[in-house]
Amino acid sequence: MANKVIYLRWGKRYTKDHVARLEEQVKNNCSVPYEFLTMNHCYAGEAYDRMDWAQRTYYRGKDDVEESTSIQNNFLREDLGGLTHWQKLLMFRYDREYFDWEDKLLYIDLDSNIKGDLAYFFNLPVEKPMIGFDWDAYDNNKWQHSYTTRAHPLYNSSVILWKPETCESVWQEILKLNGSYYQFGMLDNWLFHRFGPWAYNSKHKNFFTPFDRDIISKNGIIETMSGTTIEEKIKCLD
Amino acid sequence: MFKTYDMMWQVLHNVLDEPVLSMKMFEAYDGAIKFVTDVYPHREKEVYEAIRDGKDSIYNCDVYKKWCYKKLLELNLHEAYDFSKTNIVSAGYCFYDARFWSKLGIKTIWLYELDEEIRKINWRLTDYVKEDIKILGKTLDCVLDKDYLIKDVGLHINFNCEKYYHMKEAIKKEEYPSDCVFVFCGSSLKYKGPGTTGNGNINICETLDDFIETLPSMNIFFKDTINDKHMVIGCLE
Repeated sequence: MANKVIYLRWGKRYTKDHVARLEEQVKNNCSVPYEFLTMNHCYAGEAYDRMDWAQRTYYRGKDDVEESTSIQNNFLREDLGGLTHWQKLLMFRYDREYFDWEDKLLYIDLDSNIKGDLAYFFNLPVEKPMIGFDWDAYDNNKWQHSYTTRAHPLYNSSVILWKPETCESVWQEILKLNGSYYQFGMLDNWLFHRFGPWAYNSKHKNFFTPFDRDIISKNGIIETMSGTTIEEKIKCLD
Repeated sequence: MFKTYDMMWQVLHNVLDEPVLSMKMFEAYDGAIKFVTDVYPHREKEVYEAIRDGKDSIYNCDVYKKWCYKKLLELNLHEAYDFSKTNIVSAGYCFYDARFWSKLGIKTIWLYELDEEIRKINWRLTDYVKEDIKILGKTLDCVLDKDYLIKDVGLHINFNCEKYYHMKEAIKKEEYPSDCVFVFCGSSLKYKGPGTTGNGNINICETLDDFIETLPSMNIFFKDTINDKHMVIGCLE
């Protein structure tokens, strides 16, 4: 059994410097043995091409799909499809080919800040896949209030912890390409609706276990930039 | 509890043609509002306005739902076909709908919503017909969860096709009875900002013909557009 810290870098937004930045943070904040790596099948290959086609076909915005929002008729839209950040799903397709089944896999977004010991994650039992959760929005009903204007997801895929093959059903679900890429603008929204507490398929309901409160947060072990603007992310990374 | 005289008048106005149901409707409304106030306070204003004005920020479709029900009755389709088992996708708040369900001969109805709260509120809002109609439902996505839709029905209505991927991808002829009547409503209503109607309309069709292109192949009994809303009634071809 080994501990793996996985990063992904696609598109032009993030550079090798961002990878080096994250790698340095991991090095300074992990008290257990680990390997820092990426999965090249998340950037190229047959499955990548198929999903890239779906994104290009069904995204209805004019701006860079990576923005996840776009201006349309002078309105900021979050519902123009495209399933931004779908590349993460390829980890669930290829994890069995990269890793041993007992390995613990910790994915972290490049724009994250690591502030505590990552050993916390590798010491978790990982009986089910785990994911970041917007506890603040949940506790204060913020998500319900904004649900009718934007489908506010509580899942935050900036940090995911799982074991190889355990997310096979997530991979199978995205093979329903057309509707998913047409109806969902962001991966987190799709994950929350298809695998969260309101998923209809009982095998998918509560598929991910949320990390505890304050683990993925400003003062937690990992601070993510999920929900912030591009400008805020760039400012933070500089 | 009726919060204003205006509200009481509005409900009366809508139910006076159904004297037998009127008292039951008042009671159902009262129970539903209490439930919403206690359990879903963030929905209170929306439910109140939906019943008062027939509109809400998501659906704005009471007028279109009545259009659909009245057209089905006018075409006498409920006499020619068996609507006793019916699906409705995205019905929104159904306080006034249930009266039409009775007229259409519906005995069991499945309400499908993406939003579980609406389903639970509807459970209270339709309490006044529960002795006659079995009301069931599922919180699902009618496209991505199409396998979980009840297929053995005589009537299938989708009031908000504009909120989903093309219905021709979700509705397959071989899965439904050959005499099942389908009603598809879509629109050309564009997004006009948060909290306005058109929010969540991801599949808008400018013309009725454009809308029909998104539907499965059908023998169409009726098609028309009112304001921004298109409606097509027919059987699968």
